[in-house]
Amino acid sequence: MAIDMSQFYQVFFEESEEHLAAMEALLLDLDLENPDMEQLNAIFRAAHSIKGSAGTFGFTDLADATHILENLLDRIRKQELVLRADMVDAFLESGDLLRAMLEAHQGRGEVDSQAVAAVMARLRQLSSDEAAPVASLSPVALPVDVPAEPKIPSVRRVFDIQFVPTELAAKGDAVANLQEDLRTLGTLEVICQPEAELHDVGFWQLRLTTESLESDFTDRIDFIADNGAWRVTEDKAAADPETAFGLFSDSPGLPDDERGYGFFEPVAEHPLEEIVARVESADDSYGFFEPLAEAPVPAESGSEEGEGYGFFAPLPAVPAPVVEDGEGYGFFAPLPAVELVTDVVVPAQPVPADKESAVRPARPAKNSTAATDSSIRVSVEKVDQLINLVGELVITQAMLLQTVTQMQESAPERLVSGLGQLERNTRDLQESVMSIRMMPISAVFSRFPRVVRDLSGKLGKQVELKTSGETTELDKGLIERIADPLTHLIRNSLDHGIESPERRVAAGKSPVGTITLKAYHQGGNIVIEVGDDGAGLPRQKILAKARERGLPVSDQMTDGEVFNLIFEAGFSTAEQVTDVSGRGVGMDVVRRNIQAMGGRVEIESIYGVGTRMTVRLPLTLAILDGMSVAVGNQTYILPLSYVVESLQPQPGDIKTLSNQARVMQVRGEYLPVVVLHEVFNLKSSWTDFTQGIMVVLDADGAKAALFVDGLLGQHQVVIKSLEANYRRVAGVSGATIMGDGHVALILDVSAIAGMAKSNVQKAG
Amino acid sequence: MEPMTHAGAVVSDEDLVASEYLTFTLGSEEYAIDILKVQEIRGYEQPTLIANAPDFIKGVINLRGIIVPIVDLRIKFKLGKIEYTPFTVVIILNIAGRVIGAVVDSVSDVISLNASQIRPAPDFSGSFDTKYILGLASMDARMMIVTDIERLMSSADMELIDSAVE
Repeated sequence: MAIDMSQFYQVFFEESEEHLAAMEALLLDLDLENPDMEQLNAIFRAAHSIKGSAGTFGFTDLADATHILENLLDRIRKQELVLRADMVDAFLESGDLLRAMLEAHQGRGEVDSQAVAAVMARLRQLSSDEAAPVASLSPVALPVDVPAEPKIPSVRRVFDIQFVPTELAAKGDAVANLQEDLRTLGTLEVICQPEAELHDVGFWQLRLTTESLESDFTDRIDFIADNGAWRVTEDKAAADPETAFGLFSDSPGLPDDERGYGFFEPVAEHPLEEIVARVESADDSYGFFEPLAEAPVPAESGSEEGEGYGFFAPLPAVPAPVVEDGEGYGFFAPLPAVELVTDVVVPAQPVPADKESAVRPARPAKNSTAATDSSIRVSVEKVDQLINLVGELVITQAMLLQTVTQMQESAPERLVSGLGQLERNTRDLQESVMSIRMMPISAVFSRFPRVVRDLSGKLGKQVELKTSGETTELDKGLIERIADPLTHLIRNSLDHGIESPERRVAAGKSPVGTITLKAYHQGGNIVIEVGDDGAGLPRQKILAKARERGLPVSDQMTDGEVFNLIFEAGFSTAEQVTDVSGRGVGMDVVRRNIQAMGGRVEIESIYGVGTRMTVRLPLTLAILDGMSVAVGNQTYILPLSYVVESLQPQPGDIKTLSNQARVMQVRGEYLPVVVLHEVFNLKSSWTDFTQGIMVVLDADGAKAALFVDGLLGQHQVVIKSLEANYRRVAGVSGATIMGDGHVALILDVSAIAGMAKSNVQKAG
Repeated sequence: MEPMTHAGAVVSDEDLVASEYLTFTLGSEEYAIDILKVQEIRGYEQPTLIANAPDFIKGVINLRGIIVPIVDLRIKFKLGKIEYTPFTVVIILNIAGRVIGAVVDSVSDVISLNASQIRPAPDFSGSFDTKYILGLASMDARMMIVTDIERLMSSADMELIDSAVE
């Protein structure tokens, strides 16, 4: 039965991206002088996982690329090569490449095949580089820690390779890849391969005639075979007669013993009993089954348990593979195993004497799933639905409470207290449901060590990045959108803020600059600070530049106002245009993006001491701080961030233009007036402006005065889409549900300010 | 969620395949719509007005957290007097992934009709638009107008959906 793999693609993409991110973080953290084995192993595991799943899902380009990466990593991990900075660079680069390939597979962007080839070539070269001097006589490198004993050149040796690939490896091209790899080492014969209906999961036997060492390919087999479900034996009898030196294992320098592959040593050297004894000692539960195992073809009793684990059996004296799910198959695994042996692979069995010890019960189940499965993937839609439902529950609860309050004395005491408890429970429930969407900001912060490393190298600066508050949580939607603006701010700090080491030393600072990245909660906001101890912003230069560009500036402006000028479009104080920044694009986009998220950004700077850029964001995109206003019997919500002030107009404040458009004078400024009930064709309670309220709005620089009947209050409202079931409505950006269960529309302030402008233009 | 269960009888001959229809009245007329489009039936509540919407769009209501537009079919079909009483009914329809509420005078019952029971509507040659009418069905002395509610609600003149969406 063919499984449609595409349904799992998304999971693969997500997982691979996580692995890549983990790999990058680990690489950046590596101490070149004294690399931590644990970290190297973890990097290797990440690469290995990507390779494994890429093969399974049929992304061969990814699998091939990771394979090369993994080879180099493996050699470093085994201390055959010494880790160097250029290797880390190459790893990082290939990580980027893999990410690009992943994105290409998801239909985003293209991969430059030349770049792929270049990076791969570099990895290959790094992998073979250092090996050359050590193993000058052998075409393939010797392990560094194996003493370079005199080796007889061009000794042709014959290896019998037996293995059972893991299910994952078998479904991908891993076995085919392995065969190709082996062919590069010498001549390869396939002696036995599993039948097609087993989907290549099964016993393989290959015969390799090569001049290479066993150690050159054992690793690769280990990658694709189940834990320990492989072995390599050297067939001395079959070895090339012209170089037949008798028994090779007797000759000095063969690494067999020191490499701990004792299990697989030729039977002749180890009596059967010894092997059995070893296997027994390896797994205590084995003894129980020994009698069964000794009978090569036991009764059919195990057949009903024969869920296809049989293919693990044929490997003599090899520990059986782990039965992954550990659902209690352990006890029964050996039985079907032996049964299958008889009809599938026994004829190919090279060492029949070993068969007695062929089976070993599967290892006990993995300790627990808790260690790995501490999180689950859930679609955002489901979470949103849950949030909606809980929101409804809160409103229903409030309605009940209100009804009970109206009943006053006649409400039974127990009902009132029950409802009070319900209120607390629903609030708790709402809070925990909302927190599902929250993610720690470390998801964004983790990418910056890389940005700083690359950029400081490019700019010839020494920069240290300090982060704090990585565990601060914010909405997932915001996390995705804040990454780009933050990257830009950090690049800006690196390029403009931090000076070159010489200038820093001249200014009496440490040559190493510091960029601090901080996140914390403040009220209903999350605050992210990007600070540097660099040169600070030159006020005079900014002012001069602003005058040059014809911006209305004066020397009396506050520092904050001056610094905010750098957010103007096309404004750059960089003396030179570098490929990092200085083209005058960017900061305006940063501000626009942050504002689009309902946030704002501020700059503080002391010349010569440093700069701090502070980004304030609402905790979540789904909630808005709003002011509710009344028009007739309707309620509307104005996003609070656009509201400047509200005032009651005095007679004479409002003037007309051409008897059509109205303007209002607010402290010497004439603002266009939008009368909400006219725009929306509603009945207002007031006919006279002096009885209502003017709300002064500032929508991205365009100011307007909005006339409403009255102010009702200030709320945090949950934004709901109006377009989900209805079309777009001019002047309305969404809807929300008020505490009494009624719908209130959220006004689109930019559109309303635009209406005012066009009114005035028509009149003018 | 769906208060009405649907037990469709399946017979091989297409003419005999019965579908279930919800019948409702608008003024003195009786209409039938495919019950599979009906999500639920609820009482009328005052919706929130939408600015500059056509008069038959009464506004939006909160249906357990979803913002649902409300259409008064009586106004749309220009039928007699429009009253909102405690017995006025809103049929919540689920059409093309959208939830829309339709105000009617009352719902009567659920009937089973097969294709042979639905006769084509006579041609009124332009004086009356029949493109949303699947046909006429009679049961006892009643005549029911079998309406293609999906086509009606997603049509441009209902102004429920952005023209760009269509």
